[in-house]
Amino acid sequence: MPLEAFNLAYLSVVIFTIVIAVAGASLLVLGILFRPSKPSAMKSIPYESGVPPVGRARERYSVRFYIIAMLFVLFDIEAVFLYPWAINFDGFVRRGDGVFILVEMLIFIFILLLGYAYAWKKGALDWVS
Amino acid sequence: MFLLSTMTYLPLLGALLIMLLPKKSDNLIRWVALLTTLVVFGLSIYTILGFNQDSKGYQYEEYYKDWIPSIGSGYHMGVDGVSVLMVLLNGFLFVLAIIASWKPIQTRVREYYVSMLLLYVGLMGVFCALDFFLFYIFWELVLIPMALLIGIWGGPRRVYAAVKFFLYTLVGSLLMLLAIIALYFQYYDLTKTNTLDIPTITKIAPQFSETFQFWAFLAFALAFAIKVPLWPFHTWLPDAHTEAPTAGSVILAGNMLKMGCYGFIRFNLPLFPDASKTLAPLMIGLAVIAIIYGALVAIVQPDMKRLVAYTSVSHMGFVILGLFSFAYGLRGKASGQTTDVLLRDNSAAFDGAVFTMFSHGLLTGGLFLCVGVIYDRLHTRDIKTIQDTTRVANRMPAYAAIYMLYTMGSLGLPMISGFVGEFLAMQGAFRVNGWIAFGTSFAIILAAIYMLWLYQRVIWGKPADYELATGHDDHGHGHGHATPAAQVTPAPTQASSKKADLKWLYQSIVLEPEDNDSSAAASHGTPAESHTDSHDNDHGHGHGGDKDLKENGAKFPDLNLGEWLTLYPMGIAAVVLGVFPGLVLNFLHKPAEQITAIFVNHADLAATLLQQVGK
Amino acid sequence: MNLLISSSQLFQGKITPEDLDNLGKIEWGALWPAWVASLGILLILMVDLVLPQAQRRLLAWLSLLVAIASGASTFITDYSKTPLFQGMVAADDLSRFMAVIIFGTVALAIMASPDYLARLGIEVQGEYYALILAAGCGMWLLSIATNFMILFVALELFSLALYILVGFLPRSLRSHEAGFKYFLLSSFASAFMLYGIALLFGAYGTTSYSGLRSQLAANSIHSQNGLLVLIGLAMLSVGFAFKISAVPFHMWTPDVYEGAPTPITALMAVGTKAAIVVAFLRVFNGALEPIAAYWQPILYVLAIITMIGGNLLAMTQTNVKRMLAYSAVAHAGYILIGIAANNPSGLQGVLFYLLSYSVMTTGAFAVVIALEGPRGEGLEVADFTGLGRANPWLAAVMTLCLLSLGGIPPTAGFFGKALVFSGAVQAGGWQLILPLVGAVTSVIAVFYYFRIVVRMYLVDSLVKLPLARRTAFSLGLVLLVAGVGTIALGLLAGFALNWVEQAAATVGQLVAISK
Repeated sequence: MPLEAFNLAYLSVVIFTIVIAVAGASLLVLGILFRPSKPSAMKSIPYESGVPPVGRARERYSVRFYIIAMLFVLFDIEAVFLYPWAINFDGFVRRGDGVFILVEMLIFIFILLLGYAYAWKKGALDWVS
Repeated sequence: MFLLSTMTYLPLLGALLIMLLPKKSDNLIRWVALLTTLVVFGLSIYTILGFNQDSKGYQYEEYYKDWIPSIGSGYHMGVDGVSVLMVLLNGFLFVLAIIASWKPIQTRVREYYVSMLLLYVGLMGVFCALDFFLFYIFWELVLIPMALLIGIWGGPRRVYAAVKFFLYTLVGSLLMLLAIIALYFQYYDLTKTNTLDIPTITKIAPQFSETFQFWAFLAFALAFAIKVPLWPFHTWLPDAHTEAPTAGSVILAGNMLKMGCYGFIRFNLPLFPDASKTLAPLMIGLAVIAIIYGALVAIVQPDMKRLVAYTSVSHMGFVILGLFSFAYGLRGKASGQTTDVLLRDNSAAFDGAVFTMFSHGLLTGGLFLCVGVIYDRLHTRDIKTIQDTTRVANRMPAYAAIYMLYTMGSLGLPMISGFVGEFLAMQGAFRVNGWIAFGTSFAIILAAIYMLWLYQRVIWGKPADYELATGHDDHGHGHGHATPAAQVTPAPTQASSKKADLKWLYQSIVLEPEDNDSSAAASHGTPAESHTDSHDNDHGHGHGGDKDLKENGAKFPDLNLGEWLTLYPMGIAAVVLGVFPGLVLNFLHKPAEQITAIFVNHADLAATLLQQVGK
Repeated sequence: MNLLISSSQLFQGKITPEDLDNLGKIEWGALWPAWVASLGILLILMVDLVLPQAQRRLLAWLSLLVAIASGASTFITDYSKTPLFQGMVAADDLSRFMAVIIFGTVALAIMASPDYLARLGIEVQGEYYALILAAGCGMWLLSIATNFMILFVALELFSLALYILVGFLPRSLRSHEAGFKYFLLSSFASAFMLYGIALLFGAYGTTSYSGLRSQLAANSIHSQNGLLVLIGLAMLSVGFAFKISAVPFHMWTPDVYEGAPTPITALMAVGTKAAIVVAFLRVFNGALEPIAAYWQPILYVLAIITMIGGNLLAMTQTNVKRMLAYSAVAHAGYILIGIAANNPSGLQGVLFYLLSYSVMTTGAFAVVIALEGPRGEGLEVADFTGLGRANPWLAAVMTLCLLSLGGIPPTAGFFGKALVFSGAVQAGGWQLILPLVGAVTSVIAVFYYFRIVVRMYLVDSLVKLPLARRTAFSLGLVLLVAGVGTIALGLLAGFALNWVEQAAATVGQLVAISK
């Protein structure tokens, strides 16, 4: 049983992957075939939001970037948990467990809030310390 | 009755008390230790007096079944004829050991007596325990205090000796532990019950398979052979003895070596009768090698203590020889012969073995004390140095006399206990094979060589000194507690022209008649490095440059009170046992009978099985 | 799939009331220790924010309280002895046993810390204690997991906490190196383990221990999926062997143990090892029991080379922390004997070993903590010279713990070793080689343990600086608990044995419960 179920359930993923790969590759190939080729120094500069890059690529960034980025990822991921909760909320209300599931989520958010307060108080959000 | 437990744990109580005593109460500590050992000694006498020699099995039993129920271990104590003797020996020797360390031990007194008493707990427990777990705990408990005794209060190479002693014994113990575990499961397979009770397991021993017996015998035998020690596992012994303090050596020789022999009697013979019979030739062979080898090596030792240590190897060989001659004699005589006949024919070997155990404790213990007496005065054990220094007999007649007794006892003079044991053991060996007895009898001759030669060199000094010394030999000091050194000194000064190399010595004797005991005591606890140096000089084969020696050559008192109290009672005990060996031998009838019964029982069982298979 | 609600249902809002009913009652009470510890972590972090610097020492006591409460809370729950949370965690006697060991160790590590951190000039911070508690929580969850998912999550929970704690010492390159090394190698091993889990899942489509066990029992290893199972088994073995630091996967252990702050080393040596070993038991002696014939040989070999390698390497060490690290490696070997025996005696032996190992190792490390200087001095064997005179109590505890580690009766370590050996002896056959090797290597072990004892008592020398320091009250308490525990577990082994027997029985019960 398991192996077959495994194959069928994820077959669509495999097909999807193949289609994406083929589509992407064919677009690139088509571009090479049809576009005029006029290389210049400006064109081979790495693309950085349309602004000409300054300095070298291998530079050290302030550690603050990482902290902010990590905090963002952390809270972002945790926010994802809200989605299935919100989708299924209705079902629970109909079953009569509405208050329970609401309190549960409030506790969850409270814990997140504690984390936020901690990060704030410890100075993780201050740019200059 | 909690007599055995009381005897076992009383020293523990003493140790705790000593730990709680205030600082700088060294003498109080000594008295507490002495009192504890005296009480236990009294209890051990009470035990042996109340012991019924004619009843089978264990006496004074204490059995608390549910000590560790999940592995079937109970708290079981009890003594039979063999172990009650060992308990008495323990009690006796520990009193003497405490007295013997009164003066020599001046550093870390508290720790010393705590170690000593903990050692006592272990040794008492080993001989009383009737549960494998309990036995093993006591067996290992002995190791640590002894290692400390050697390692802290020992000679220059004490750390090496202590570690070597510890590791050697541990190897054997661990193998024994595995064998005990195997025994436990073997018993479980046969009966579907868990127990570690020694008598219970012994009852079922005849049912063990031959291969199991073989391997388990070897595992146990290795542990005990290391402890005995049997050649070729003996190399820790000379080191440990040489480095240990005097009292430590006494206990080591007197009690701890007996643990191994006791193990053979208690476990190897009754638990593995088949293997005992098949492996008896091997054990006898090793014993004969040990007897001869120990004696030969002893002859050439330059160090008094090392020499005595090797005589131990030789003497303990007799114990093993006796035990396995006994086992060999019980071999293959299943049908027809009753237990009584077998016993009559073979019990001599067993008796001899156990008697040797007991008498060796007294005689070798005494010899170590004698070495200690000399060492405390001259701070050397090097035979040549002592010989070159002075003639001990002149200055210490009381000492020379008792030393003579131990020498004679050790080389097997009739009327002293050493003779009885060796004679009986050899008689047993004779039943196995006449050549074995013939071969081992050379050990007696060798013993005469090493003991008498040692005595001559240590007590009588250099042959060249005889004429000058004889004139002053009849000073008539009697038991002179503190023979004034100055009285003897005039003679050497006259002779100094004859012996130029001794000149400095005699001069120094004249010039420095001060008491140097205090400096001697102080040199004991100095830091390791300097300690090592000074003692290396001691071993430098006494050309006389040693300051220590010069100073102590001056004052040379005969036995002091403590030495009297240790050497003479022990010697008297050895003579009494030599004259009345029955005192000990009477205790051995029932144990020997029991072991024989197991062997016969087992052989009968095998015979009936054989018959059934045949049909 | 054994999940009652699929992810597609969850994300499309298609959970019906029936599905919820099928979930059954949620046994919140089974995880009391974890709840208490988690709440404690939050509490400590918040208190850390509001407390002024001067009073932050209180945090240590607060976290100690949390650790003790976590451990104690396991006794207020009546375990149903069935896997809960849809077979995710086990609530049995073994869980309770582990709660005591792990939170006990955590409590001891916390008690040993304040004095140590102050001596090393580290400001007391809430994170330190919160992370220790998080690690403890993860370890406990690891030991009660009955599903590979929980196993892995718990593994990561305590590993992440430990990565930080190992590198916690500021200005200590050695500590940072240790943290980074631990991080890299440990994640490498985790990857192995995860791959093994994935392959087993691929073979039978289940991540639960009981499901895997029944599948393995029902299907021959020679069937279609056998190869997947065997490769998965190999991967899992590598992962576990790394975590338990068996030779040849032990390389990280000495460096990490040496570099980490010593209380953390103690926590790792005891708590982590205990948790991993129990997870090991639940996976190998539980889930993979039907194919025992395939993993037992692996464990024989691992056990033998671990005992020999660990002890031989320990013999050459001059740094006490490193020596204890190698000795921890060697002890993993002894534990493996019991696991490989795969019988009740062996399992009981392993659990008793863990119990005794936790007290004696904690004790030994506590002495090291007491002696360690601000810049890592006082860690050499030579630094113990004369300790017997300078600080008799410290020396006594060290001696006791070392004797116990060496397996000398009547200490706890002896019983552990004897019981583990008895498992192998009972299994018989050529498993008898294991206790033989164990016995011989024990002597080697005693040799190097004895070197410290010799230093402490038998070598007279001038007493060095760190020995004269006074031991702080909380650290003294740790020493007392460890010392008394080492002796008490030896003399009163009967009580502990009953408990261990119950706990060991539950490993086997896993089968009966599975459907």
